[in-house]
Amino acid sequence: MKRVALIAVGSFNPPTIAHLRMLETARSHLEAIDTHVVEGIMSPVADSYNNKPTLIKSKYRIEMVRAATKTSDWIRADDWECTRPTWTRTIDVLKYHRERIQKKFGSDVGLMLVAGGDFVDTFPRILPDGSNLWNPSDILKIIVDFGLIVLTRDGSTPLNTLDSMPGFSEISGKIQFISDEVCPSAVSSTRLRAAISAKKSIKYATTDEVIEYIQENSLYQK
Amino acid sequence: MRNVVILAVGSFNPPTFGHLRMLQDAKDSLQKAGMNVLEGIMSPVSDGYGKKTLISSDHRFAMVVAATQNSDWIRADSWECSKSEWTTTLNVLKHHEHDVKERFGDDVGIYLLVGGDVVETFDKFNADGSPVWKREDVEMLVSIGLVVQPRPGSDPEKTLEILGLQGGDINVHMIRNEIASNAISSTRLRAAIKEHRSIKYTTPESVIKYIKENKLYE
Repeated sequence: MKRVALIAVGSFNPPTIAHLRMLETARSHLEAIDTHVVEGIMSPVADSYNNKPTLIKSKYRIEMVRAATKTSDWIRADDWECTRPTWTRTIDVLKYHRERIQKKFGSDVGLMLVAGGDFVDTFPRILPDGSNLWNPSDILKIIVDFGLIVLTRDGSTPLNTLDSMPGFSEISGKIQFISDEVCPSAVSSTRLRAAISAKKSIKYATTDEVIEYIQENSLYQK
Repeated sequence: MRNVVILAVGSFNPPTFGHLRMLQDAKDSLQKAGMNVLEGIMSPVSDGYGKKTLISSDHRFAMVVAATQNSDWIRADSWECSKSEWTTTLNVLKHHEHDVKERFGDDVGIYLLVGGDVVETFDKFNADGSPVWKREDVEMLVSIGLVVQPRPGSDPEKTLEILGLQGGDINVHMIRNEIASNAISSTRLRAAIKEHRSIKYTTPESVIKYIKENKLYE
């Protein structure tokens, strides 16, 4: 039986039920096609990723991911990426984790990236300084060498995005598109932050452990 | 400040985060409008409702108890589901209105929590040509109190306008800015359980545990 580990990267600012459902759905999908999932990893991005004022310190974000995965028997938080002083390209995060995974579980185990449809929508994005957010060869490597599972959500158009990128429509068939039929949730971190600063309840939008951590550390108050 | 209670009715077969989030959003919205929410009640429908997929109310009630065990304001109520025959929603609401006034005082109000799609059925007809709702029942519901969760594609305010249900004696509160308008449905959860797909993070851990221990929906 084929064996893989899954990784999700992102701000997790804060982690929500939607992030966790994305991994659960990917795993259910793979197990249904006889692929055994050995582990799930959630890797928060480093603080230097951008200067967004809404991105709180990674020491809090990693703890929230730990709290979020506390009751999971297969997903864990990993702090390698977010404890590095500089931003790490996603391809390098994947290379690092694949090496670790193969040491731990055997060289036949692959690593696949799991992402939301909005993640694919960022592929052609140009930064304010005119440079590309993504190196096209990195995207190719992620799709071909690792494997990409995309959870489609309302409002994201991953296939249109790939078709619009020269050279990418041919490989879009290698991406596994899935959707969460059980829970097509519209929970977003942005909405959670807005709710917290408006003193509205976020119960049942993320796990109780994450809510407890946010309250104890007075995060996102303003 | 007016003290109020929120009543949610349904199959809860099984209860999901969607049901619980609806109650949280209703509470936040009512409090923002200057009310004080004393309690939330989840009342599973009786087995007499007669849907084939409906499992026994003993289990559905136990799951709602499990789902609300971490809440400091929502509780499960068995009045409706302990009856063998079905009770109309209006009569469930009237029972709790009476009960709430007895427990908390005569000035305390009650709001029935419904989705916008339910309000849209107020002016609809059944296949046999009879109206889905009796006019006097609808009038009674909107005068006791309704708190309405918007649903994509539904326009409950329009329906109320068409029915002429507006003005001083109408007590309908529309939920604004809900943070997790998600579409988790019990139907989808049951299908997932049957196919051995994961339902983690769609309903509280305590509910998943109860379902497994009792081998429900397999």
